[in-house]
Amino acid sequence: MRAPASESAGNRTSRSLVYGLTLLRQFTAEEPVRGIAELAEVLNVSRPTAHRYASTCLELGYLEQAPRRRYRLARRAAEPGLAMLGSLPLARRAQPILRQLRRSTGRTASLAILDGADVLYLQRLCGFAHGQYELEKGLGAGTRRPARSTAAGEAILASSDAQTPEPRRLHDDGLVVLDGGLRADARGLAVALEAPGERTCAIEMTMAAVAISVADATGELGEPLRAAATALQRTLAGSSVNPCVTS
Amino acid sequence: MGDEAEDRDEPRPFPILREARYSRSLERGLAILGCFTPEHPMLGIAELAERLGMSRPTTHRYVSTLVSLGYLEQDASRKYRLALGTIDLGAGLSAMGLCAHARPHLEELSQRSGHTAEIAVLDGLEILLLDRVRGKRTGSNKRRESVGAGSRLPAYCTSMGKVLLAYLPKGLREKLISEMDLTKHGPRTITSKAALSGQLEDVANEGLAINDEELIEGSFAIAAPVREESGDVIAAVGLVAYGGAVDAKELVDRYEGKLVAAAEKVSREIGWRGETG
Repeated sequence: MRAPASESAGNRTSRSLVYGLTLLRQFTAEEPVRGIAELAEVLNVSRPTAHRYASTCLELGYLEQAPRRRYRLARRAAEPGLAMLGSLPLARRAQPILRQLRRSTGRTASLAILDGADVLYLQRLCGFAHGQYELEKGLGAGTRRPARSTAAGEAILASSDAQTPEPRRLHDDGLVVLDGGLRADARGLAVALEAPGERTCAIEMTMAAVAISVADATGELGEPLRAAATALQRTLAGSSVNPCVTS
Repeated sequence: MGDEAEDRDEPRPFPILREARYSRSLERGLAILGCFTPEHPMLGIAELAERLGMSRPTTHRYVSTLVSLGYLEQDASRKYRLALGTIDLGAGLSAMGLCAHARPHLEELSQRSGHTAEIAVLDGLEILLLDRVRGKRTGSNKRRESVGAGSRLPAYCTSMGKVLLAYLPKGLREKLISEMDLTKHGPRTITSKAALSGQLEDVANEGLAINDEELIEGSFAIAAPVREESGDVIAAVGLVAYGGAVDAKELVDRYEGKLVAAAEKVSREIGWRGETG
């Protein structure tokens, strides 16, 4: 998607739509504010063309003006993603369970799935224990990482039997502990779960690696985490819903 | 870019952006994405075409483009639904953090009241101040001014802290209170755990917390909750006056409405869809 020029220019595809959405995708956690010159360069289009797509996004409420004639994402940009999550039984059913997990531990609770070679965080509820907010900076729903680099990804891969995680990462009952996946200073604890008709997912808790030892983390947080995974598995199995996402 | 050429020969009752400086193809593609909601998660070409007043072939072309980009997918019934890729469109937004969303509303609150507007989250037994916009009318207080974004203050003697504690489940709130050391900081700091616990019940009922010289002498503040999409309270917006500019009663009487409105606007920015009040 980085090179829209290589997209089919046949009459089945709207090139303008490809360019416009590719422009919108350039606003990321790492580069939240962008100017016309750099957008034109990334998209390999002229500045007036880039300006036209940016103006359209601005007018429709997907972008807003940032200082020095640059742009940043506006609220509407999040709406398709929120609508998708609201239509996804997995995400809807996970939310109350993640809220409960955050409440009982104060740690950030998240739901992740595999999307290709990535682990994709569908929901992240930021914890309120000491240091959790600062740890969550630059993260959020939609965060992607290489699957094997995070606890959630490793847990999902381990449960699918396709790959075995490094033994030191895998604890009893499928609990995976992995440091540095989301951020260098973060520790992730994850348990994967499967339910009929749903893709394998994982519930992950994130905390500062210095805040808690691995032994204490698995001891204190392993139980509420497993309980949350069991609860989600149960509500998914108990509901004969159509899977909303095909693998 | 060939946008005009693409669009010229098509009927268009729909576009709202008529000027050539906008891309109609982009507008239409985004409008198609906007048709999908949790209430209407599955839509076919005919429904989309009718809703947007576009021809079916045109609609099909945009839908195909959205499928190839990973924003829509087709299910067994041949209808379409939003695909996982849509989460990427707003990922940068959810990563921006609260500050970016709150800033314009803090500025407006500060401008309208003349006092200092702040936003904070709970961070253990303390609050973490994320941002503050100083008001013109706010008096001066060296201790208060030394506090800025990134500062931590005790939760029990700040209005924002009391809001954040008040909305926790009762068991957790009592546990946190039991771990606190209620040191006297101002003339009216609450130093009794029972009194604090009682006041937090009221705060949760009223949706407003007051700091009546509990942190610093001559400093008053009020705060209201910010809710995220899940409905949980995750932050508080506060309005602070110090240096004897006004007292707590005047803050409440004159600015409660503006404060609560600002907190609600921030909530909506971060995806809260609940009802007002």
